Amino acid sequence: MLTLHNGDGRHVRAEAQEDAVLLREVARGSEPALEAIYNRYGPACYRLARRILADAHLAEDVTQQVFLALWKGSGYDPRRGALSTWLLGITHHKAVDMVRHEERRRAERLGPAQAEIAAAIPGPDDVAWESLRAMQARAALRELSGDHREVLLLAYYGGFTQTEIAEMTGLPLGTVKSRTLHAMRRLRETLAPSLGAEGDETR
Amino acid sequence: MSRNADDHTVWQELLAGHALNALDPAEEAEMLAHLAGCADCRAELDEHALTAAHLAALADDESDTAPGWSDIRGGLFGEDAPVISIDRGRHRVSQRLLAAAAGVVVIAGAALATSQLLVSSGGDSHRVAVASCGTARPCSVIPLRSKDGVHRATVVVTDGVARVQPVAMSRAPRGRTYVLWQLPRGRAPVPLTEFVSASATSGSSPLSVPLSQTTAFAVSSERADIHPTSPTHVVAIGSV
Ligand SMILES: [Zn+2]
Repeated sequence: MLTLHNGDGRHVRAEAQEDAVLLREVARGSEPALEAIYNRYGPACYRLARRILADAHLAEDVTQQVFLALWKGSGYDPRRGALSTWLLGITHHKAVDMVRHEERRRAERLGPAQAEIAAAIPGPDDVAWESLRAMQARAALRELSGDHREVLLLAYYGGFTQTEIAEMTGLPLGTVKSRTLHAMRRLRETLAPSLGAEGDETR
Repeated sequence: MSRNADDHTVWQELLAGHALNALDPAEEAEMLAHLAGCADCRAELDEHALTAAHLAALADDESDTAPGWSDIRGGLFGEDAPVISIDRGRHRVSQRLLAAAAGVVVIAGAALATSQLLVSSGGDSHRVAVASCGTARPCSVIPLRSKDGVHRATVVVTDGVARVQPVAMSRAPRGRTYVLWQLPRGRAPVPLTEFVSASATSGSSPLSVPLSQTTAFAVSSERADIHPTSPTHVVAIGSV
């Protein structure tokens, strides 16, 4: 299961502590520790890559690259955020890099509107937390105006550059840029209560 | 470098594009150079990274099967790398490491408990909840756990009515209240009842949809003067 929280130390939770222990072991060359990290976050990384690439094989390549980077001494800095955030960040980066080299696949990729809708309702059991956070993210996304949502989703799930988005939408590049910034900030504000705050009252 | 240093908005806009990996190569290079010397932008980038991770979670379709470790490791260590050491090592090493990490958490929790009056203690309240279920009518007991796996509350559903029994929860701070939420399948969460402690006021409420159409229940902490439309500070959750 995926945990997202601020890495500011105030809400250090079990998972973050376990991640720290596992990372230390990975740095010492422990493959079982890398496997444990993979079992935690690998599937989410793979599915993000697959969403962007619309190709299982390429998504697996990207996932391998991500965990190879971790294995080789990644540059992950826990002061800057959770391990899950970092892993998803480099997954996104690598997937977007790859999709730009796979132009022909673009037509097969999900459009942004579908991407939003297709965020499935997860199954039972320990995905309950995950489903709740997805609901919050979905609700937050709905808070955005359609214009803001469009530039955000085209960039994040579509892997398009802002220049490409300007061409696709007919908007001036400057408008795409300012909308992207506003969309990211608005989304963060809407998500703020749930970011890093889950379970405060139980500590 | 063509950017006007006085107008930081330009950098902030570029930064958002950078966080989404959506800049053209020239702009990307400019942004990276600026980031190296701008602590404000580095801090905002961390925020953007977290927001982007939420977008990733949104797209995460758990029904889409991901490759297992055995599929991935070949690309890392070569297909011929001996696997035997992993399987043997996994349970011993990882479990021991994780147990050690968990120990740290337990100790931290114990220190907190002395300063926080827990209004009720674990097993007893849960047993009370289970006992109250009775035997004559259909009845469901759903334990709600915090993210770290601690059993915080129990929801008992009898005859279409949900009742929440706190198990290990501190009294809601002044000005705040706990809210019990029902998470219907495929629909927005519905607030069922509010409560502040494990006293007799622990709430009960008819379900908004039948239990069979419910994914989970959750308890969140909310401001007492606001009726939120979705859970904000989630304390515990349990799937049905
Ligand atoms: Zn800056």
